Amino acid sequence: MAKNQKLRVKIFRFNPVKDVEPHYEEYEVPYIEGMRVLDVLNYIHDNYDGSLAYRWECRAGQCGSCAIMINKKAGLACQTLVDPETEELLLEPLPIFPIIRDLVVDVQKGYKKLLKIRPYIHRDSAAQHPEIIYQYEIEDLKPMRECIECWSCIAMCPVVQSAWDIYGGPVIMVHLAKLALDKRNVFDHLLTAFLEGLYACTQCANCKEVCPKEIDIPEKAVGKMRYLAYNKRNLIRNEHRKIIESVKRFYNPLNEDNSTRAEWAKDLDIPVAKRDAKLLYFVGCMASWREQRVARATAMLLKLAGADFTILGPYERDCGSVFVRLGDMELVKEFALYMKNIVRDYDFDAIVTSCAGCFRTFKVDYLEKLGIDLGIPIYHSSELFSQYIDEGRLVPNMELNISATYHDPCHLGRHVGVFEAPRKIIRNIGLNFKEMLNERYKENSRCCGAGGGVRSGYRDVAREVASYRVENDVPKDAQVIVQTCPFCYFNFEDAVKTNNYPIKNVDLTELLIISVAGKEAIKVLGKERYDQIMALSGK
Amino acid sequence: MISLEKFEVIETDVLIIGAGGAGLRAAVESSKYNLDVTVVSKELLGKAHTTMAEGGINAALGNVDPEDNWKWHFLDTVEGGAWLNDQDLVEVLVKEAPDRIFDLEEFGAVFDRLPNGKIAQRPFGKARYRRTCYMSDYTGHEVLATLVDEVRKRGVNVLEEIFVSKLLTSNERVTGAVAIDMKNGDFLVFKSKAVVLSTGGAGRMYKVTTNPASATGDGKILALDAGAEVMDMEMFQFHPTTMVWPPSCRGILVTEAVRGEGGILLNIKGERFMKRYNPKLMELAGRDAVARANWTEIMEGRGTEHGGVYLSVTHLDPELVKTRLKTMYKQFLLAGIDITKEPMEVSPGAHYYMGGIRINIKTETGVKGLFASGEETAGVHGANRLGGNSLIDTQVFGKRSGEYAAKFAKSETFHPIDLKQVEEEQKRILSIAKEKSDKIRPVKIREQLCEVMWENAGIFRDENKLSSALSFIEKAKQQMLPRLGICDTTTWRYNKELIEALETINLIKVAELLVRSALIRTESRGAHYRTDYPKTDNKNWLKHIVWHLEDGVLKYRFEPVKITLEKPPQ
Repeated sequence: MAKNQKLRVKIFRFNPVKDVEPHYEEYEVPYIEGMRVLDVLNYIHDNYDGSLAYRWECRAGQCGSCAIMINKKAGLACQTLVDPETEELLLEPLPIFPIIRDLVVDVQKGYKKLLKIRPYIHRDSAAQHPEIIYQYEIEDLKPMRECIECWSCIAMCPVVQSAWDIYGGPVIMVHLAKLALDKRNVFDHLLTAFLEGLYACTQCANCKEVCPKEIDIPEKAVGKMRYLAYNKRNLIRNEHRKIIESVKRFYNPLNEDNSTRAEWAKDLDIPVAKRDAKLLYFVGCMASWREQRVARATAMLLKLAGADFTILGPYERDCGSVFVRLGDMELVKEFALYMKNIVRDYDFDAIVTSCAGCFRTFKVDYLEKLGIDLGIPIYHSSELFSQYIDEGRLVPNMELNISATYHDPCHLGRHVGVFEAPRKIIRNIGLNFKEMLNERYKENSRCCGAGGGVRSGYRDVAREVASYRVENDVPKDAQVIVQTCPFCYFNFEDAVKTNNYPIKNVDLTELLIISVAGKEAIKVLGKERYDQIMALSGK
Repeated sequence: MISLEKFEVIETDVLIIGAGGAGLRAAVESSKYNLDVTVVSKELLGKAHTTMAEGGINAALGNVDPEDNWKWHFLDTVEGGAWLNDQDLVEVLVKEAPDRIFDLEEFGAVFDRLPNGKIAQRPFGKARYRRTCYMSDYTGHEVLATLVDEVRKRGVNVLEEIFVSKLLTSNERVTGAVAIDMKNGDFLVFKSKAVVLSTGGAGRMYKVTTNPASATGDGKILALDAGAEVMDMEMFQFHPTTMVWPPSCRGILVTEAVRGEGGILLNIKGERFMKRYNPKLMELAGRDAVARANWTEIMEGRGTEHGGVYLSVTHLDPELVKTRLKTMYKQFLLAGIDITKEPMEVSPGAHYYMGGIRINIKTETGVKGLFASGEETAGVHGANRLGGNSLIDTQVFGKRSGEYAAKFAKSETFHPIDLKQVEEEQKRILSIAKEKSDKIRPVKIREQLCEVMWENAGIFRDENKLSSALSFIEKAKQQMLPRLGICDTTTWRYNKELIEALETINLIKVAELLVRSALIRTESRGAHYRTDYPKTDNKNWLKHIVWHLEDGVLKYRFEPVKITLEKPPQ
């Protein structure tokens, strides 16, 4: 942008003393090299309107005073660079909190939640000085102590948005971890965490995404405390105990007989446990038993693309994702080693999976948490199918004229960075596509609410979170939400059915199989589903 | 005549104005006496200037250099302060420092450790021994966050976003304060037995400053107005290294710890120029010396295009830089510079006010019931402050101000509020807040003040420049301040500009005291450097310039420096 170019800035204005409703005001601000959002606010205050109310103090990212919503994403105004190419800079106050004026919010409720958990050290006796503490003993709690209470995490957390009474929020977990990990502290902050929603966090990492101190809240605060709570104190939700039992006994969390895993494939002539296959299609528990259309469509697409693949059938076991979320690393290790052996025994070249959770577990968690490398590329089905379309192995023959939006699953999108592949497929099959509203797509996608053990541990919360997304983020004229994770799909379906929303959830593979195979897709999806989707398309 | 029912009156035994390191430490201490303690703060809790302190907190623990003890800390401090320090204050500072560090640990503070598990200490400017305790490079945040925890634990009442505009007095004792609650624009009147002032510094009167928005010198003016004295007002420290580019980063602190870890200063010729200014201590010479060196290099054309010099850590282990200087690494990365690969561009910036309210070792100000601590006060650091001494100042004297304020309050009763004073103050504020056609906005006055002060009352001063600054200030007082006005004259709820207007008045007044004092002191000492009087004159000038108000007129006198332990050189 040339030096004398102007930025278009739109700011939320609300004076509760005089205004009945908020409104937006627009300003033009000349761009200067290195400009940050705070400079924009100061410029407007200094040159246009001294009544603009906003907070700032240190302007160096150290105090947390200036947190606001910048283009729908929470962040410190002083640390957010202005992109000169941006069409419009939208500045709004943090949500959830009552508004004092314009961009200034009342954070008292946040304080109340914080004070409730006694966020300070409790010693049972005066310390002996000098106190001997080793550097390694403080390494884990140091990041937690960096919190500057800017409330950005609270502003973005999907669970806080829908259920702040049950889950105190990321900042609460940070302060709890700060004390639970402090050997000098005698108060039971770990139990407190358990009671304040330790297992109500979906670990979606939206908080980490916006934290100015880059505190890894889902892993280092929530994850670490879950590990201690479960392994050292046996503190876990009863629903989770049932799941753990199920996986230990049946190798799946759904209490299903594992030998029936491939029942969905019975009539489809799919290779099962084929020894010399190159590609493993790892179906996952949800697709195998609950969202079987996903498995059927995916398998069919692989077949049509001529892939040399197999499923494991009764030899497929849970990927271990459940245990990563619940902090039982011993169990994860068992499943990881099992997978490693499978890969070695069958000599697979690659793995493709339908579930974003399995995808992330194989690709990221086994390696980062256990140092176990499966040694071969891991694909999500959307990545592979996008590739097949490029290579001409799958040809989307039909344009499906359906108004659609896409939900980026946390485990596929924000955590691993797969955004383009599903969108490529969406474009290729001719959907009338609009991104989620409120900028809540790609890295900024709002969690469906099912992950992190919340679907099982706090079912109502999971449903509420998905309901909120449907009500607020889905474009009004969308007919379907395209899904690429059976777990998200399952949770959204619950929300849609419970609230009677007019929107439909459809997995990407269901749409792709119809586009590629036309009427042949009836064999995979069943006539009812096929007709339902075609009706949306107006065909 | 207004009656007290028209505004909320809050009764509290001890009122602490300022929620930084000193104010919160005072609150913790006062709360031990079974009294009603109220802290009022201009900003949200935990967001005071203290949180920006980076380098560390000094105490002669002797964990790294066992030869270190309070006597060496004392000597370093008075030498660093160019012998203008009141030595009784310094004695207290250095003797009580270790205990205050242990207090912080007791409250839960975590400091980086040595392999043997003791608190680690690093070298810092002008310190003979390594005594700066630290938490990476965000020690200030660690200290303040710990104090916030302790204040919450003790259930101390903290009222946020309150601007105190006047102290109430009666018979030479303080009886309370008038304030505005920024959140709703209401007037508040505090009735208290003791008041502690800990409102920090006044860097916002300079164009280039490390200080946050709140550093507007409020406490000093409140104190003067109440009958207390201020001194050493000419002593303003310019930190040698602050960010220069891009423009929005101008003034952001680049901690001394960078030099403590081995960073070196270079001009555009690639010369390590400190060898020409202080070959013995090089980059770890006192801040005043390094600031003058940097500024000279820049003024003499050996600086960068943006007006800075280079500070480089490219020769250090990148991993060490990323952990020990994490804040620096990130703040430069956001500005597009990877400091492990490129040098930083830095220049001096207004940083710390050694001058301020005159106190004794009990933090008493001369006005009964009024105490003060922290950057607010004068005498501890003399003419120049050592790095790491500010945080420990807040702890040592913060604790003392809390202690003595509480002890005072315990032995006192409430005194009635002088309604006339309240009414006068309300009228004063209303006259600023009302609609006027020829108004001058606070930002316009400040822009000019900051420019004038930076050009004329900065690192290098002389009679002409200072006089020029003084005439601007006189003009501001006579012609601009009476026209001070704001955009929104109808809603007081979160009316930031109204507070800015009141702060601007304080800044002008503090600037006047600084410039007048600088004109009076015809020598150079510590941070105060006169190009027309470059020598330090220990024969005639080992004295403070002390101001007070007499019927609204500023009057000064000299007060000899208190010398207890070490005799200054002749």
